[in-house]
Amino acid sequence: MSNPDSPDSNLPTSTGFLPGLSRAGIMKFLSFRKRITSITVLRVTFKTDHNLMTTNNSDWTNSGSTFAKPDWTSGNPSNPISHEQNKKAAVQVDLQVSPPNAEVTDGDLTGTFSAGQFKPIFPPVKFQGGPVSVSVQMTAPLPNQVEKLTDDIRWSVSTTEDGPFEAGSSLSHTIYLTMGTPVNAPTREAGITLKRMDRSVALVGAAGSADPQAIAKYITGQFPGYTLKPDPAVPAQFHHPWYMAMQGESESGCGAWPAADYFSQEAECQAIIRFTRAVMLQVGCPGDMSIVVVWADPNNNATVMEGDWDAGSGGLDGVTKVVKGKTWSATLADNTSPVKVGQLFDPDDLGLNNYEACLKLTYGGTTMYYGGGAGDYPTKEQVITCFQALCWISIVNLKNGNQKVRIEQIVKRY
Amino acid sequence: MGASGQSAKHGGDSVNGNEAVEETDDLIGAWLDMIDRAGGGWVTMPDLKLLPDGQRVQLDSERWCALFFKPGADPHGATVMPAVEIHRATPDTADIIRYDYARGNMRLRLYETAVFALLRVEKAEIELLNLSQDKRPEGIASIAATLLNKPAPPGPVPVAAPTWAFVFEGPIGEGSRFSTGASQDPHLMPSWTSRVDGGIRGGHLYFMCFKKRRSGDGRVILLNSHHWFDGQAWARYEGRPSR
Repeated sequence: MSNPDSPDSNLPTSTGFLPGLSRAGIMKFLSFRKRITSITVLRVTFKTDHNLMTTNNSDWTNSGSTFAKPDWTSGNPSNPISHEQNKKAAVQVDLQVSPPNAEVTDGDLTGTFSAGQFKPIFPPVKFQGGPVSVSVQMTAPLPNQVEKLTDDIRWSVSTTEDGPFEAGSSLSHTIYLTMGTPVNAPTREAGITLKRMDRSVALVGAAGSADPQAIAKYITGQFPGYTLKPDPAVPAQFHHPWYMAMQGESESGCGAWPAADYFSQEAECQAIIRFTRAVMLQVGCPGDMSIVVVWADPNNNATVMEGDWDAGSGGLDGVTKVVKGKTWSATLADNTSPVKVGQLFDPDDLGLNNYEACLKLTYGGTTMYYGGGAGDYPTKEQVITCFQALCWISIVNLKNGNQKVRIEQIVKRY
Repeated sequence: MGASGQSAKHGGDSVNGNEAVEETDDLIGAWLDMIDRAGGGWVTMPDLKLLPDGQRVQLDSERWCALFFKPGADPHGATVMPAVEIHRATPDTADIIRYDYARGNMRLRLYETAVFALLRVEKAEIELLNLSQDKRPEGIASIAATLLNKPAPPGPVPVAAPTWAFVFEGPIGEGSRFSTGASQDPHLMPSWTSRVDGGIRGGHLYFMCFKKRRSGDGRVILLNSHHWFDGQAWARYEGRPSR
């Protein structure tokens, strides 16, 4: 048996193109490798997004279904995702390597887009004919701010044996960067939807601050002020200015969310702060948020009280007493000129309040009360100073069918 | 204030300027008298939006009528367009809308202001005063069930579910008045569902619902019913700038 490593006179020799090559070497040369000829990206699935957002992008209702994975499939539009800012996104990329019998080779996968690059979590990657799935992660965190990113991701492969390949792009990704995991707002504003996320990211991003107190101030400030006057410009189904059913009507299913389209029409304070809370929770803003009502107790030395608005606390609602056969009602009066006992007011000339509704936000050891278009305050004792006085009043009915308000007693002036 | 069973004053005598601002303990009677004083001062108004604050008046009327009345008794949902007239406020009368329409074989007339809606049965299949005394409460309840929505517990402040039964005191006849909650002050009660009134006046059965406006901000809303059409009733409650 000839030594395979020694020259063989039947094979091309130094007079041919393989000078000095052993038989084994020549045999190896002549058995060609099944090379990879193309690599194509087929599917992209984000693994570190929140996967809470529903598909509804048409109205403010809490409807739709969560987006089904994968997030991009060749020939289809991308699903938008939400992802925490300043974190490295991780993705599973499914590729098709051709031809099916291509032999294995080590390689590297790179995904490039405006916010950075993806690289394999466990390099090197084995590429061979057929489907290949690769887990990749960003080499640097996503931007550290609330914003909406939109871009294609260009995928490219380099292989040891078969050279580089452009694997194509996964198209039109939308990534909503949030401060944290989105949180369902209580009751009427509950629900994480695409439409709500899109608007919330735009609003919080525009606030230009990571401080929840600054964000709350910015969002409440989108409303020029507050109002109790219904505006026909807002579709009736949304129940402007309350943005909720007040008397047994049907709820809109949207809560205060539609206010995003009607800032200039303003809203009640409580609706403004419900909207603000919902937007901040949608982007996972940190901080302890609640809606409180602040009033003073006329039967307890005008002690300033605080109650939970969501739980139905009504402040001075229903606080009455009968004095010499006449019903007196407790109220917090707001008026530009001081009220006096015995004074009669037209209803137009005196504001009567059961409480002041506020968004109470505690973060980083600081608590603020935001009055929804009515100022912000560090304590409830300062909230109450937005009123002129705590009074007992009575309603005076007139023969012409109208009524007046009489100041019966002033409990405390502010 | 508005006790049930109290005889009502007939006639449309005008109240002079001083009397107009005189106090009264009979709020409901004052409102009934005011309707009478509107007399012949009615103007056809096919489209409420033509009023200075017409869009808001229209919205307000639609909202409250949908709350108070069954679909068939709601003038905004009538099969045939109602005849609509208005009375503009004078020193002793409010801005009033008057709707005339039909519900099946029943003819109805609705007087509506910024603070109440009075639905009067002009013609019914059963003439109440033709019934015997013992049948009249049942007859009234039956007609009420046909025309009025049963009060639903309102939000957001939880209150006890309202009762839905008129209390009758004494014989039911011309001038009778009755209520589901006579002790409730229409201006201060928790919700419109806290009190619905009714009565017989000029031979007609009527029901009176009160637009007790609620505010999620805890504001007590008392609209000046003399300035409903021009929108000035809302001036106190209009947008306030952020402090």
